[in-house]
Amino acid sequence: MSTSKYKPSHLATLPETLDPAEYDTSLETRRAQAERLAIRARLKREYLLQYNDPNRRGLIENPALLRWTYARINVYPNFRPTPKNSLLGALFGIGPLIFLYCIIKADRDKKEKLIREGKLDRTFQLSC
Amino acid sequence: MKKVKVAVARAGVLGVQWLQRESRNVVLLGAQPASRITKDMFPGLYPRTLEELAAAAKKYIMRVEDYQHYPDEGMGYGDYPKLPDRSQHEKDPWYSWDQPDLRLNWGEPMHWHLDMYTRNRVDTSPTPVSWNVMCMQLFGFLAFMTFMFWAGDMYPVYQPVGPKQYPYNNLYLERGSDPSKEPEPVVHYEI
Repeated sequence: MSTSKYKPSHLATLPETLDPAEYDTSLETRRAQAERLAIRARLKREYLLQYNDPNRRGLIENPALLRWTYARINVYPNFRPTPKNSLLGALFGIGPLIFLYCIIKADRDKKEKLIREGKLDRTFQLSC
Repeated sequence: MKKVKVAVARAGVLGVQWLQRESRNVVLLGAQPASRITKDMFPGLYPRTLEELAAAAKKYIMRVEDYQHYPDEGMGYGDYPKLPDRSQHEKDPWYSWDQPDLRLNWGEPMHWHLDMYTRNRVDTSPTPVSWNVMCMQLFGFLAFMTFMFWAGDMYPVYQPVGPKQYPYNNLYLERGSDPSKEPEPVVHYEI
């Protein structure tokens, strides 16, 4: 196979070994990684304390999950009709309905015309 | 008879005691302290100033530098963070996650489209060849095969054939002709 360069796309990301940011060992990246690790460790500690608490009886509620649920439900307060929004809404909401209506109407009209002219084979037709 | 009654009564009493013990462990609905998650910890409106950005990053337990939000196009995201569009397939399989099936930790901000990026659904992990090369190979092959089938339909190529030759004088009797009459002889060969 020829040596073509791997280009990442929306559904196929760059592997870590080809990513130059992986080999970045500057001080800022190291500090950022340390901060992220500190946050993760703190969250892990909080979770494990609740998990292994012998007096705990119910579920451990996850504020990240609650926030995600809340955000996914309450989309309308942040909604604002823009031209792009309205166009997409019309295209995906009303477009298919009109399209299907046109197709079915055309098909049925053609069949009706054939029946009126007597050209359609209706030997085994049960409905009228 | 009396012993049976006493035994039943004792069992009844023990049952009631067990129920009382167990009901103490169950937390009644609505008996939770209401101060676990407050209104300001929920997602809010689109952040406009730097302080709002910092507050939002703190709320979602992220670093301020890492916190990106969706552009303000009125699509309803608000100040929810825009995490990289990576599927859960790409997360480390050997790390001890709190939720191993979702590869998610407790308290970690969840991607907006997390339900799409689970391990049963969309996979964004790196492919062996780039996407456009894969597309070219697949559609190239399909296009070539479509063209060849169309060309073969247009210009069919087959061995030369003649009309089929039936025995018994071209199936005179089977074709329903009169048995009393003599059929004309049909000869299919030439010597």
